[in-house]
Amino acid sequence: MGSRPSLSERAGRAYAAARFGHARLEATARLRQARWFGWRGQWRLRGLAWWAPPAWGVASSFLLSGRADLLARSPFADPGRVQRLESASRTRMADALEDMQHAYFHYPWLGAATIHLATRLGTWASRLTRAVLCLTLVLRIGDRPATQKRLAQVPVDGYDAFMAAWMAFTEASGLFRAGDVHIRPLVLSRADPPPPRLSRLGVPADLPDVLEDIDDLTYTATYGSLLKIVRVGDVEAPWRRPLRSALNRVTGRAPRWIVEIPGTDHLTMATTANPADPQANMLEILGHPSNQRRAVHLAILDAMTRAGVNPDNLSEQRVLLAGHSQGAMIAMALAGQDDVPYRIEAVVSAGGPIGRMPAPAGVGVLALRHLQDPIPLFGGIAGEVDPRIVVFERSLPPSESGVLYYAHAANTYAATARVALDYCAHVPDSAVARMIERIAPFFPQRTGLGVEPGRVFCYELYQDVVPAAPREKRKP
Amino acid sequence: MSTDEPHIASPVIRRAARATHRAVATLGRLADRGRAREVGRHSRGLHEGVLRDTLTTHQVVDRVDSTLTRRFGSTSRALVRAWVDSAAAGIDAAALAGLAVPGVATGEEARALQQAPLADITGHQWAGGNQDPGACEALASARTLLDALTKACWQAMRGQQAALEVVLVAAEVEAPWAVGLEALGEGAVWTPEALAERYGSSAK
Repeated sequence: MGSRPSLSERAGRAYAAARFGHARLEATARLRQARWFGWRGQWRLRGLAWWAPPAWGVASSFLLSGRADLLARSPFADPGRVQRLESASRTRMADALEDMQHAYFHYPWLGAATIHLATRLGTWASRLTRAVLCLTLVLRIGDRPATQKRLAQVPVDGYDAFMAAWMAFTEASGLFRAGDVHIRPLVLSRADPPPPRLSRLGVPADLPDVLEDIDDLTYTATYGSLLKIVRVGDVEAPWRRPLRSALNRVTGRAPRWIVEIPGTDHLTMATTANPADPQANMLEILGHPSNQRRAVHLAILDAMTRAGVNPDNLSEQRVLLAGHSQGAMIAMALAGQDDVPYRIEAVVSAGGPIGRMPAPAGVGVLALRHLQDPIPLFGGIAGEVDPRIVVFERSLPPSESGVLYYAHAANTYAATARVALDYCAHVPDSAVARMIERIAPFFPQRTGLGVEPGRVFCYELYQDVVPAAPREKRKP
Repeated sequence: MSTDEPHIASPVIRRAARATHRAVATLGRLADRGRAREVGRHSRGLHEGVLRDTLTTHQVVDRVDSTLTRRFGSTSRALVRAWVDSAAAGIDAAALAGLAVPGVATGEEARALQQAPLADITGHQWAGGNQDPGACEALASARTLLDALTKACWQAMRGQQAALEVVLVAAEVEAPWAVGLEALGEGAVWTPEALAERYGSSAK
């Protein structure tokens, strides 16, 4: 404690103060920890105070809606008044949701407090379940081996227990019904179903470009989730590929891959054809492979096959995975898998909840975060990450409405990546600068013959939705 | 994850979970009175109305359709389609009608042209290499109008941090250049940062 900050730390702070005023950059593990412990002491009262207005807004919206409903049943009701009540109810609900977003935006510790509350609930649920199971074992009630098996399956960790309970509930209620997952190359000329209106089909020039691509993939996703894979150092025209290959051999610059993985498509619990769903979030947080992870892996392998990579040379294929939100979790999980045949060298997480994921050995991880974005906190308590992960954090000015949408948008992270590049130019002796330098060779380089070309592969990832299981009948 | 067999083996738990879900869903339906939930539509409608009001004060604009889409994870996008009176805007529809419309611009070219400073663009470039001076002038006029309307939208929506896509459509829909002008707008999505850089972010 109390050690003198290094020269680069001081330079970073001076730069941040001069360039961005209130913005925090390069959050160190110590700063994040101190912030969390500072917040923890004050969450109870202030949390309630900031939850109260939006909660009252939601409740009063329901009350107004109910009043309109009752009034509409009366034969003497004034239709104009019913309509006014309904309109007031909708306005109240919209305002309450805006208030809630503003509360989370302006008081980021509220997000941490919410996660902490979920962890506490999970801890108590886990303790209670384990106590009941232990009691049945002691009293020799029921099937002993089955009870022992169940006891071993109950997570001890509070956050794991909360997520497992939520997942078990959703699955038991028949909402999660994901089947097999499939991939198909995207054909923009098709007529049925209409192709997504992607507006960014080019080769990304740098990290902000990658995140803008992801914003476009997220926005245009239609039937399934979209994935863009770029082979830098390759060309689209088949007749030029042998020439390019020869040139690559001469220059010693091997082709490399950039994979752009968008985040969660929807927050509806019921399974749809899009595998980037809440089920994938829960599975990844609990450390199990999701359909989206499988599909991303299959798409990368397919793109490598289409690019003519010899299956024996897969281990030589250098890959940069860039993911936003859930995509970052998928990227981290893939990088941590031992059985992946290609070589993942770096991962970029934009607002990803990767708090409970260890940094894979030999893989450089850069995490971009916004102080006001609560989603990275969902990775675990206060969004703490493995100290080996390099974090670049920025504080955002608020927008007028939809502040959390703004704070979590991939495009806002693209702006943060631009700030990171700017920061690195000014503070080259920093962890962020070293990480940016590490991923820079993945992007097209300027050579004597111009900027290196690239070949783009786009995929649609989709899953089957299995029929609902028949309801259990009561025993006679 | 295999879904051949349910993971929750106990029928009691499954029944309880389903019953709880049904109860919560019923409460939600009662609160919504069986209608589709309209959360957020109110504020979106307000912004869409602001955009419509802003553009319809422009004398050459006949009609405006605007849609603000919010999708969690990507930037909010406002798609604005303005039907313009080509004669009042000084756009020679006849000159444009003779133009090889598909050659006007692809999405990439349109974005490059739309984001370049106005002074750097000549009508010739805008027309995709077409040598007809009338067509070049008409396209340059359309481009100037598009720029003015995009700026107006940005000023109306500055605080929302939304990306903008502004498309001009000929009020006389039968005119073939409507397609060309729409092509100019297609794929030219302006991010909030690009808009702030071009039109400034301080003065309103």
